[in-house]
Amino acid sequence: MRHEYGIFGGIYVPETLVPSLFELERAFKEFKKSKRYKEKFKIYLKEYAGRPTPLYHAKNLSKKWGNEIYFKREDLCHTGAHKINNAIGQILLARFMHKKRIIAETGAGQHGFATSAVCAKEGIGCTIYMGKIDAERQRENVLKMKLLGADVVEVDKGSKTLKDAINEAIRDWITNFENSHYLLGSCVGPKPYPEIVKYFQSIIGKEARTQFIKRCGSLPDYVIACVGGGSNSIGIFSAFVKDKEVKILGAEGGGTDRDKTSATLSFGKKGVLHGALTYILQDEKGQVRETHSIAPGLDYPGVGPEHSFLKQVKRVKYFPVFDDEAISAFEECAEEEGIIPALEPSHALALARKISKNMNGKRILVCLSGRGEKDLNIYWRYKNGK
Amino acid sequence: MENKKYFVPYITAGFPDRKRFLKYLKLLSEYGDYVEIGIPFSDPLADGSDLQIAHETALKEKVDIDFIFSSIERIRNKKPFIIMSYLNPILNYGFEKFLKKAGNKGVAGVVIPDLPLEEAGYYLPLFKKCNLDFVPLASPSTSVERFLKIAEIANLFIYFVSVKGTTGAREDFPEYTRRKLKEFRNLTDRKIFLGFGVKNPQSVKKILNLIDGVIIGSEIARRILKGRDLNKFIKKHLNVLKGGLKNGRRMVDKGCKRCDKSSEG
Repeated sequence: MRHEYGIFGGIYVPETLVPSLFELERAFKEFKKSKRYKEKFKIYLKEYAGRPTPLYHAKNLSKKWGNEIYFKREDLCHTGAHKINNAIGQILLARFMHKKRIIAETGAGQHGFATSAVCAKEGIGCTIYMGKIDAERQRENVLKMKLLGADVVEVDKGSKTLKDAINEAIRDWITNFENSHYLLGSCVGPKPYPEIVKYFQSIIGKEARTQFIKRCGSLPDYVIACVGGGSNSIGIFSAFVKDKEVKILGAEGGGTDRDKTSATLSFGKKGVLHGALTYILQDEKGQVRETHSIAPGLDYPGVGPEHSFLKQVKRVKYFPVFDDEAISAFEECAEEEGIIPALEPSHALALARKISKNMNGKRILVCLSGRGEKDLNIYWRYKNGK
Repeated sequence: MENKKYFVPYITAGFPDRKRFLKYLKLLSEYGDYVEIGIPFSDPLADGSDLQIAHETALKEKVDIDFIFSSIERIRNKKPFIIMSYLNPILNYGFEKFLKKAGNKGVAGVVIPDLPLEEAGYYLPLFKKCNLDFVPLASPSTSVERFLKIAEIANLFIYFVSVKGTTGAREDFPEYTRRKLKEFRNLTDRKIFLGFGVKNPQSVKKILNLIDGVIIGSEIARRILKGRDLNKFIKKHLNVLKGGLKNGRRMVDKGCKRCDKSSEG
């Protein structure tokens, strides 16, 4: 059992999909060689997504926490999060493969929003699957997707969150693989998806590394990002994995406690979900558990197989960050820096604050993967519930 | 090619509840040449809505792998069983432990819809060791080159997925089903069983010359859920498969005595 990421990864899907995944793999190889498409991707990122995103020195938080805190500002991307990088890349890949329709899943709605946007621009129809609970708690993103012309299907099955949205998207793909591209939003799923998503998200790390060296004259001491499926984190980590002196930390959605959690790498065990062998949250019979995180984008019982590998080889350390810690980091960032982060990267901020307690004067780079306007309802509900 | 046409009914373990599952398992064992039992899973992504309900219902009954083994023991009129499971519950149970127990309990083969050729290789020696058959799937999107590899590892039968899509009853098969079957039929002397979407006996009749058997799941689950008659439905299929009901029943009975003695699977 040897895959791209040690024992992790693989292509654990129904036979019907295997040829499509091979087709995708071949197309992706060709795509990477195509100068024309590479150039298109570059221009798209610059003029449509608004890249490069800035590196920001959060001086007030730095003072308060006693370490130098830097944000990679993915929250400034068009559609409000890093998800647009992958959506642009894959819509071009879909065009390259002459696919006529897009299928996507979404948790927080950020990937669905980004996908709907690029589909509107390219004039390709799309169907977005979203768990019913997620659709309720991220209503504004649903409205945005609809305005952009997407067909949003609310999934009223299982846990009614991201996991079940992915199940439905895969079922759609099994039926419509010939004309449809499944635009998967995270570095999860069967081969070659984790590699494709990482390729398109690695722009975050490439930019951040160059910017950091230019600004500080050295590499950061720590790089921290939140990990749900793990696409923003794999994007920023990828540029630093080879720098042994850089410590890399992942912040998982801890939920409220061990039993109501989304912290897959912290509390899960190895298994197969959505086409890959990776860590998953499961019960003692191998049934996938219902998860919880206050951040819809982290509310997922699996994780990208490369993260499982990075944990196993001890290159990256993963920590659960609980709902209340994330909420207080969310507030602190808004109050101190005038930036409302999404609840997902608020987990990374909380982890940065936590490790700051035991050290001083270190340089910490945090991937601020998205903006928090989408989360105000969740935030106020949480505050009122307390 | 042997002329016998096999009938393989499928039911998810613990569906619609523990007690009635046993009742239906007995009934299906009366009729089937094999009986396929599904291990319920939280994320059955190859299944359409009828079997999703079956999985969900069974999980509420807290059914697990050991329940299946103990259910099999309670069936007196034994037919060889096929177990269908997504990979994760088996991995969690322990792959080898599962195969050993299954082999001892009279299971002939295992179908794992999310374990394609590429990933199956690692596990095949374990099947051999436990004297159990891995039942590979082929689908309308499978190429000839790939089908040959699938046929090579098949023993008991090849599970041919009739449609591009998930499980779920359909009135008729698309044109490509027939085309693909015709293409594959000449490539192997392994048995080919047709599954996914089998409902209408008349549509089976039209392609009967290209297959060795049918696997029926969703329509059985739907009938159980709606409280509709199963006996008549099954007899209609047997009628087509065995060419005449009376004759058919006799053939089934014979088949069953044969496998009591030992090994049809």
